[in-house]
Amino acid sequence: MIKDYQQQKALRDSYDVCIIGAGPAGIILGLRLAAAGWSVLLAEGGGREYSANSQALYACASTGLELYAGEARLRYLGGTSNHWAGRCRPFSPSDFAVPPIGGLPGWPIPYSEIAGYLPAAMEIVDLPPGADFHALNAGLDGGDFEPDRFLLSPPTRFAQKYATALEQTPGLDVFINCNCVNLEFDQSSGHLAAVVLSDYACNRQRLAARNFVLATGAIENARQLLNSESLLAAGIVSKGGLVGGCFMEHLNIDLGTFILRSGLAPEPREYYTSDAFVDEYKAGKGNVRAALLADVQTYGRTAEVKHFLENLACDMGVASKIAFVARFSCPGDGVISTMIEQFPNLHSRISLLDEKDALGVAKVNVNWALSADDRHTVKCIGSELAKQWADMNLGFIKLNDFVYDTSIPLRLSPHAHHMGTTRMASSAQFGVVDTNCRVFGTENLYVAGSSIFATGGASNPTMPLLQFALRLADHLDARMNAAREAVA
Amino acid sequence: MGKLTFCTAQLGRRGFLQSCVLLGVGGVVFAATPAVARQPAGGPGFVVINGWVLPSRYFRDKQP
Repeated sequence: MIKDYQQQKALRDSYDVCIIGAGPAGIILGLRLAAAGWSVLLAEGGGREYSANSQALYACASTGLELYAGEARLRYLGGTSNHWAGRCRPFSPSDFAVPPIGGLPGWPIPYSEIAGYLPAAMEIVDLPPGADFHALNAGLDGGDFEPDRFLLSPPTRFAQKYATALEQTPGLDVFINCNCVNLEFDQSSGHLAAVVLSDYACNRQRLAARNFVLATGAIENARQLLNSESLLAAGIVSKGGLVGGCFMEHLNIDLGTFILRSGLAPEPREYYTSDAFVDEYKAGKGNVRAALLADVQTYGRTAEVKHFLENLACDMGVASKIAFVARFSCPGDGVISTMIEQFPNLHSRISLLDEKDALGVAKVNVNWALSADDRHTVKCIGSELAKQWADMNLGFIKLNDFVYDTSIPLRLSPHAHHMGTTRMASSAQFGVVDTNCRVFGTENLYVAGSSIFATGGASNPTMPLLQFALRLADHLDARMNAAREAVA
Repeated sequence: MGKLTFCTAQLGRRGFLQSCVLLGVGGVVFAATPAVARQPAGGPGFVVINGWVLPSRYFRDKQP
């Protein structure tokens, strides 16, 4: 049943599980646990549709690279899936086996822990059962770039797809306009005792549950933890610590332009770095997409440049060639965009501000920052791609200067893939949640969503985060069953 | 193949020096020598000129 908390506050006294946030992770987790027979509260801060009133609570400051954090996320039923583009690429075993550059450990679990959940996650995002993640094109010679393999979801809009299930699943109470404004931790028991819920008129009430799950996205999950004075007092979170640290995005770099050799197919080409590339260059992973411009110019400067490049071997003085190349400027046949891995680093972080939002929750600052290792990844991907493009006689690539000259500020845009702020690790020294997504130092507080990602690879995060949500549902189900049997 | 016609003298000294500097950047990036007269051992070398990543073999003093 979906109820509006602004109008009716008919909460039960307690739930088996309280989930904060009804985006993809929260919805799937809630439906799974309710279907398993548990009483579940799914509390969504926004309404059924977009509203400026709710979205304003996502406003945050930025001291780092421009993230568009106020617009990239959507704060209403279905969450950011309401404007999801639908691209799906699963994680691979190497994402879990190879630690990131920079000193922090990678995933504390093997890929096999989530591999079994891939078919179910594919079904959730409406991909054909058993479909192969297919390639648009061949890879590049040299072994550094494979064809990227992905599938496109319709895309799935979770609120619409699961509207009936959210209304009718027994045991599941969905409350919209139901904002979590505090987490109350009981240090003596190690349990999160309650969350404090609020409507938009700031009417508050405590809600107890056996287990709690934060599923509000990478920025808000960290914000909820940092905003809790009781968690702070207990040392579960600390300012400047791992909670909120390691904020990661995927880097959309305007690598440059390219000239495609005459006669080649005009379709876009998508490549993905191989494991050999990552190993050889000690770099991150990345997708690159070379797409022709909508209106390729076959005249004027472009034609002149193209003709020159296709006849580079001509008998002409070196100085003349260099001088010519140094001067030509043209739009090229197409542009190259990317989705490149960012390594976890503690300087890239969410931190709490003194200023409060309309509901009394502290606002946050986002400092999205890259490291020298990330610049190295961009440089390696750009330069190796360009070399292999030429080697295969596909044409030539003109890199933007900031790709190969790391002293020049990088020009990039985000992908709205927020990850890493409550990263998974084998111990509290390196992460916020354990291998079961439980917050270190607590008995019953869990996190779902891409904030748990220890590394982000260069895979779109929605489908993988669903695999983790399904795994968490199984864990909670098993844990609660075990507790029930122990009592019996 | 149509032969491109250029006159180095008309490009001017400044433009030529600028080109050399840009070629130097390529050398830094891909470990090729600024002179680009030699091909690095172990495979074809590349230079970056004005951002264009090009095989250095085309920039030898003498074509093979």
